[in-house]
Amino acid sequence: MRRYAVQRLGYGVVTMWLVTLCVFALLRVSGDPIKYMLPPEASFSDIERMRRVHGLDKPLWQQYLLFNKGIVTGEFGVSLRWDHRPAFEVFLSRLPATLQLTTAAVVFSVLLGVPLGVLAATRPNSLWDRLGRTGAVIGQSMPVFWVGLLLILLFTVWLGWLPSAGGIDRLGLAGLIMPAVSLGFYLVAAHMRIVRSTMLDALSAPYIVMVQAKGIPRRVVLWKHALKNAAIPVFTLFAVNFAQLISGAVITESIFAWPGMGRLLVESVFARDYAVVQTVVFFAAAMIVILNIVVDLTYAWLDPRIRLG
Amino acid sequence: MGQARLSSVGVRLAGVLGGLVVLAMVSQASGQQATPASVAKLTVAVDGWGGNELDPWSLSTVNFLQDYFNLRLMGQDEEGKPVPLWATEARLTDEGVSFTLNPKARWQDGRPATAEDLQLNFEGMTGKFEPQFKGLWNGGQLRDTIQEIQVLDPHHIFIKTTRPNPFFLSQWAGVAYHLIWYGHAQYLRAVGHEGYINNPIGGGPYKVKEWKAGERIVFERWEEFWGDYPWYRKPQAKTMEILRVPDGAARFALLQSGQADVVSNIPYAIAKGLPRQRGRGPWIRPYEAAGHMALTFVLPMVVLEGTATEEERHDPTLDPRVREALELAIDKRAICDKAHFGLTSPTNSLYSPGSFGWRADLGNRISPYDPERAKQLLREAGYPEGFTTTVHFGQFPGRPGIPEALDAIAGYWARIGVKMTAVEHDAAQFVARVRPPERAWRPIMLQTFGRLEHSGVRVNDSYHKDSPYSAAWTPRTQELWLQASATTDEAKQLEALAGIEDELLQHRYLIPLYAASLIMGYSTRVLAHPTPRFAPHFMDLDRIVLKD
Repeated sequence: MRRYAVQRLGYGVVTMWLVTLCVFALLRVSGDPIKYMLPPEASFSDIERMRRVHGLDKPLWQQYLLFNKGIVTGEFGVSLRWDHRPAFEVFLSRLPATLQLTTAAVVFSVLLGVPLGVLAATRPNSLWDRLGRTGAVIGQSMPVFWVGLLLILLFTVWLGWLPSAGGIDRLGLAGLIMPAVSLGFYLVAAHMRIVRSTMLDALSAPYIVMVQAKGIPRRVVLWKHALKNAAIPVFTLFAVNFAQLISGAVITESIFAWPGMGRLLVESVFARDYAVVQTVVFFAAAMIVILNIVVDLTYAWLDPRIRLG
Repeated sequence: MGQARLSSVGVRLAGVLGGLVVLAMVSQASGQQATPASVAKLTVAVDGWGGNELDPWSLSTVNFLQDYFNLRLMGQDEEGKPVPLWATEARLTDEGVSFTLNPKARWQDGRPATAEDLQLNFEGMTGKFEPQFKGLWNGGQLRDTIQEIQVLDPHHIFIKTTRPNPFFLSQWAGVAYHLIWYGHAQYLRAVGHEGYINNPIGGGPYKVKEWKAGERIVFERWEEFWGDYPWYRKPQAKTMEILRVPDGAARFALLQSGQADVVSNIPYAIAKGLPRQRGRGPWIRPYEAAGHMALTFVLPMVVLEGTATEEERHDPTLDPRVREALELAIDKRAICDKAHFGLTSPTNSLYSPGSFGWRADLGNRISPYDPERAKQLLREAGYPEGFTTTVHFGQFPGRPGIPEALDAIAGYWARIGVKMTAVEHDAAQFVARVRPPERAWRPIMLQTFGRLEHSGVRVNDSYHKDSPYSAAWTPRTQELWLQASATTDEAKQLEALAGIEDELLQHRYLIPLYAASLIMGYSTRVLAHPTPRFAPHFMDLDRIVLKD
């Protein structure tokens, strides 16, 4: 098990290095940040001056060495467009909002998707099952921005129940409801579908027949024995979705003016703010790699065949 | 008897009606009187505010938030005339510019705002205090402009320019599209960049209470604000919160639900059905000519500059008859009336309507829509079956309606056999690659220009050889530009500006399309927003009057 863990960590480190290398190269290939940053009225002398001031006149290899040195020493550079604050500070200022939204969306999707999936699996081809499957298709087909705007129209404009612009620090927990539902709506469908399919497999397995033959109540059979064994793919999906959303939910954040990392990343990409883009991508990648390692190790712990294989 | 009773009823009715009328008048009058001197909060949702920086000496782009806590020398009143802010008087000559500063002006820590502060600001913006202050994004231009600064006394300053500079007041003093703001220089130097952004102290009507870069800013009224002009005084709202909400529909929802009092840049499709006067629900005000759109033929410039490929030398758009045909095939009025719901107006000028240099007779002489003549011109040019071409464009905050216009143009051109594909680019990339020698957006680009009050600044930016946001030029415009930019004599400037415009339009290097409005939306709480008719880039939100 230890060897397996070390191997996974090694892969993780290599992945991280490749990610940083790609980001560094792609940003430089996509153009001179100073030209992109300055307004149309900037003169050639302005461009030259700003390039020098921000150290972008240095050769690429020097910039790359500085970038790597920064990662090792925890200095991720200074942002070009965010008050010239340290990029790491800019990233940290958006992290809480992203974690709040991501956690709420994923929890919402699990709390709704798993019971719906179980319900559909226990009554295959019933009205519940058909409704659930139809709902899943609709949920996975509706674009996030459309769901978001519908929610705003219904709960903000018509009913006046929920506020729609800002994070928890401005609106309190009420501000989290619509962004989380909007973002989690797609995931509800995904969770429901996978739970239904794995539960159908589990319910036809011999050990469930055995448990039922023992006369154990159906509720216990379903929620304790079947769901527990069907939960591994759900756990994977949960982890993958959480990791994906960590890097930001740009559309949801734009519609609800949510102060998360998605908007920060996109705006920094458009502004060619190297320091901020590199920092956000580095930490988002790190979180995804760490989550994947955790999932791998949990799998190996749950199912010894994986690490032996 | 009967008549007497009737007349008695009539008298009573008349009395009741008269009473009601008087009551209505009194209540209206008292309603007018009831406009409170102070209200608790004003909430504004905008699509963008420029850069995310508070330090006026390290701005990487314009940032209209600076208007509320830092200083400008001059501004515009409701009529659009230049008016005093920090400076009570300005005098522009060929040698330079003198300012008289308001002796009442103070910084928010109580220290007087003096000519020495102004001098230090210019030095800070041009990078004198690097590396702590990066210098302004256009500090290079400013350094090229100023030769010497003479502080005559605490309230008088003379800035000697390197050459006659007719645009100084427009570009650096704050008239209309201003580019810089003046901060509390002594404080900036004492606390440094980091100290300043964590606790900014300015001299404007508001203090910064809370700042979340890129998301929102909360201002708190400075109760001791020194400004006492009708256009620059202690604002009515004690707290002003400005939220950045990028999505247009989501912004409008804030207005509808009463979460915001003012919303900027409402999409035309939403704005079309809204009233333009205050009533029972959200209302709008179109700020005319906030943006200016033109199709620019890039290849004539590329040929002139000697960077055209062999294939490009045979492009149809190099033929003036083709360019004329393409213009005649566009129904500009229909685009403005139908695609933009009457919220834009067609133009035949390179300059913003109402600006210095704008000629109404030329600007309003819209090219006719004549597809038959266009087809004939194409036949004469050797393209009877038309051809295929590409139009490149970028979309900028506050310049709505571009995709709709391009859809319409593609349709018009298709009728004369020209198949056009519109290609969108990231706005920053569009600007960065527009300049020579690259001139990436060949053969045609849709250029969007922000409103400028002095058309000389537009020429500086776009219509001479070294323009940063380059559109078109000829040796003649170059010559005229040198004349216009070397004198503060307004008559000579006007003559040169007219010559530049005539020259470029005669060659049909550009097709001026339309002047675009910026639509501001207001809730019923808003009684008035006394700003100029033509859109200010920076919205004068401190002038808004609320009813409660």
